[in-house]
Amino acid sequence: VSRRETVARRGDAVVLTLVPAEVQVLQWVFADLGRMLSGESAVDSVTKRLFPRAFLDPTAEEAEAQWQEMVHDELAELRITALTDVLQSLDDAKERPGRDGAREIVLEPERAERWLTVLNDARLAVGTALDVTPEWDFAELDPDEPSYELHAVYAWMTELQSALVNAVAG
Amino acid sequence: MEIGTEEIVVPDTVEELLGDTEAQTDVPWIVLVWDDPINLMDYVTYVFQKLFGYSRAKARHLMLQVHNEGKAVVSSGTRERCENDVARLHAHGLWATMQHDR
Repeated sequence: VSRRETVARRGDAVVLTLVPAEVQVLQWVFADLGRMLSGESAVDSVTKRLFPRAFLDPTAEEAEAQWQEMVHDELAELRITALTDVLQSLDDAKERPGRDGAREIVLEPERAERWLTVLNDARLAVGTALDVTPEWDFAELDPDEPSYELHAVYAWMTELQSALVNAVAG
Repeated sequence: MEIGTEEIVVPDTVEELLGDTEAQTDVPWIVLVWDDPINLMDYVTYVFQKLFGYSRAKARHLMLQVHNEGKAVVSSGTRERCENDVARLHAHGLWATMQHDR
């Protein structure tokens, strides 16, 4: 059994090595995020987390409304563009010779940064839907709980993002 | 303000004449980032470095302030600048708000 490094640096680039099941999970989570961003299947708590208030003061409703008017569509578009690019890089991933059929995705610096923000958006969406708290600990969850699998996906995305941010930030 | 007690001020600059008072443009704004249970500490540090050009040490210090105290002031300046910073922070998934520096 060989140890598989999921995230590695290669010069300026970051290399992701994902098995087909991991690619599938990401495609599924990212597609779901896309539906939320486009408003196709919006969940209120998730929308509020992805597009939070800019003004906390309850008397600043006018400023807040102007703000949402000014930036919401632009931020949504920015996110959807990044998401489309990341989904494309998953589609493009070539089969790397190897018995486990792992796919290697080579990310140039800009694309690696887009991956980071998209992965973070996906974690925000899933984590908010799961109502993750600061005390959240996957190891303490009951495997019989109905959302256990989604918690497992969230835990794996957290590990992936942690490795990716360290690879990008050097 | 009661009528009659008001001092009459003669505008002496074009800006004052046009009503673009300094009170509106020069009151500083601050940008706050709030703690949340999802964003990773290393990611928040990375975002502060990327968006504001802060050193790793300064970015990490601010991230720890967010983590330990619940919030931190990450930038300040004109309303436009703060709006821009809040938009960039939101684009990176951080929970940022802006307010007058009082």
